[in-house]
Amino acid sequence: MFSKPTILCVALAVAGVALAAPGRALADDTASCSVIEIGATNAKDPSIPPGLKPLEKKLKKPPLSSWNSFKVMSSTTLNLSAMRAAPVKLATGQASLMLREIEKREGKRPRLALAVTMDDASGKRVVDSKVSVDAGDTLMVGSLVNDDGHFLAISCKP
Amino acid sequence: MQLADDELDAASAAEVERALALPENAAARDRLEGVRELGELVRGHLELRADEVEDRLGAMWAEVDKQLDLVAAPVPAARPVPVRPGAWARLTAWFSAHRTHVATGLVSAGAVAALMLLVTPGGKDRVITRTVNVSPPIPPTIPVVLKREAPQVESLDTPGGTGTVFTFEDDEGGTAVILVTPNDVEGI
Repeated sequence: MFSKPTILCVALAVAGVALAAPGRALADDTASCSVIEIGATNAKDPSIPPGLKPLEKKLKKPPLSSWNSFKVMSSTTLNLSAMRAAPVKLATGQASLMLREIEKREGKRPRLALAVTMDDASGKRVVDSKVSVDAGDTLMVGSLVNDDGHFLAISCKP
Repeated sequence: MQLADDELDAASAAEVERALALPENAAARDRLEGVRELGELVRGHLELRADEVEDRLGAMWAEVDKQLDLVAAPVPAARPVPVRPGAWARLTAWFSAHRTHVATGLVSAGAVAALMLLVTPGGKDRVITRTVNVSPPIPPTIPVVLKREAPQVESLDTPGGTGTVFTFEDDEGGTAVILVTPNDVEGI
C-alpha cells in the first residue's frame, strides 16, 4: 500500500517527534543536591546563623517555628546519579539520598523524584521516604530528639 | 621622307616643295604622294587598334584607381572606449527612447484624474469611512515563570515513630517538611 521510503520517512518523523517530546529523563541524568543538617532548639535569644538565612522564612513557619534557635551541624553537596544511593555523613547519625528520576515537563520546572533515608545516632532508621519535588524546592526531613529538632534541609537541581 | 613625315622646317620644306614642282621630278612627286598615302593608312590602322584597346585600358585604369583609392584610404581611428553615462544621462536617454510610452501614460493618468474629478462629488472634501478590524492591544510581555508544583510525598516509612508531612509555598518555592515524632514522645 505504501512504498518503503514513505514508511521509512514516516517512521523517522514519528521517532523524531517522540524524542523531542518532553517526558521522562534518561537514566544518565544527574542532580546536584545540597544537604544542610540543622539543629533546632528553643533558646532565650532567637538566632539564625548566616548559613541558614536563605531558609529563614521556612524556619519561621510551622512546624519549624516551634523552635527559635537554629544552627548548622553539617553541610554537604552531593552529585547524584540516577538510581544510585549516595550516603550522607551527618554530625548525628547518617542519611542517604538517591535520585530516582527527573521528569522534564514543558512549561514547568523539572521534577525530581528522590528517595531519602535518615538514621539516628544509634543507626536506627528514622525515616524512609520517597518524594517528588520541583527543582530548587526544599525538602526538610527530621525528627524530634527530646524537645529539640534534628533536620535535613535538602534542595536539588538537575 | 622627311617632307612626308613633316620633319623639315618651313624653309627646307618650301625648298623641297619647289624642287618637287619641277617637271623632271614627277617621279619623286609620285613617290611622295605614295609615302603620304601609306602614312595615312598606317595612322588609320593604328588609330583603329588604339580604339580597340581603349576600352580594355579604361577598365584596367579603373581597377588601378580603385586599388590606389584603397591604399590611399585613411586608417580608421581607434575605437573609442565607451564611456558609461551617468544616472541622469541614462534617465534622460530612457525617457527619450520611451517618450511615446511615457507620454501615453501621462495622458492616461491625466484622463483618469480628470474623470475622477468630474465623477467624484464634493471633491477633496469627501470623507471616506472604512471599518477595519483592530486587533486588541498586545499585553505586555510577561516574564516566563515556570509553573510550580507542590512537593509530594509518595511514601513515608517512619519505624518507631509517627510521621507528619507539612507542605507550604512561599516566594522561594515549595517546601515539604517531614517531621517524625518518636512514639515515646508527645507531639509538639
